[in-house]
Amino acid sequence: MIRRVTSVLLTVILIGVLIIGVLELPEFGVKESPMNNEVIERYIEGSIEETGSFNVVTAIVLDYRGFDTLIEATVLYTAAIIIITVLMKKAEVRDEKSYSQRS
Amino acid sequence: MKSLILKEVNRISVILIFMFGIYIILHGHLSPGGGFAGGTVLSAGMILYKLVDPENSRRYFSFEIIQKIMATALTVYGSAKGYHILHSLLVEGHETVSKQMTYSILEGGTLVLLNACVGLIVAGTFYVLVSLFMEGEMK
Repeated sequence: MIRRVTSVLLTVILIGVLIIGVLELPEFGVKESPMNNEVIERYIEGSIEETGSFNVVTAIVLDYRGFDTLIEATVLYTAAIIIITVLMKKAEVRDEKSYSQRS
Repeated sequence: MKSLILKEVNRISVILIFMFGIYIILHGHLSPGGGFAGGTVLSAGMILYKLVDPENSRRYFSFEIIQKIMATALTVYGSAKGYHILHSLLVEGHETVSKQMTYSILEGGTLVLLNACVGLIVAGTFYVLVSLFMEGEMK
């Protein structure tokens, strides 16, 4: 019972924190919002000369935002490694048994 | 599945799918596509092979090899990106590395290498995820 109440309270607090965070975002569709800056034109006009990539998406993902992609690849790698580590356990146990049988 | 026709057709079609995925990865800086899309195509080929021929796929795409390939790809990605940024900052003075205007694969500079690394990581991850959901557990 106490656990259920605390989980509900924690969820409400988390939702409140997230809503407070979302309220700070700039209004959608306003021209002066900070996401309408000079970066878009720079990407479209200068990406071929600056990066040598004809594909603008590749230029942004791998050149301008290269470290972002590094972290993204790290997340994927971590997910795969965790799945392998957690779920290969039975095979390891089997190997230990065979090792103990051999020795 | 134990159908002989399925296995033989699969052996040919998987090669074609791999070729298509490698094409998408290597042409990532020239045409639509790139590491993520090409890696997904590669993993689709591996998953098809696993569906048709589980025993051989366990031998060819074993998880130890996938682990090693993914770790190497991540290391190479980090080193290449660090070299790229340090080189462009220190040597060329705020200039980016490859200034080419020809429509060719090999003159893409580090972008080809980075795309290949991202493709390998994405392919390994999706293959591991799908084999998790197919078997419930590894091996």
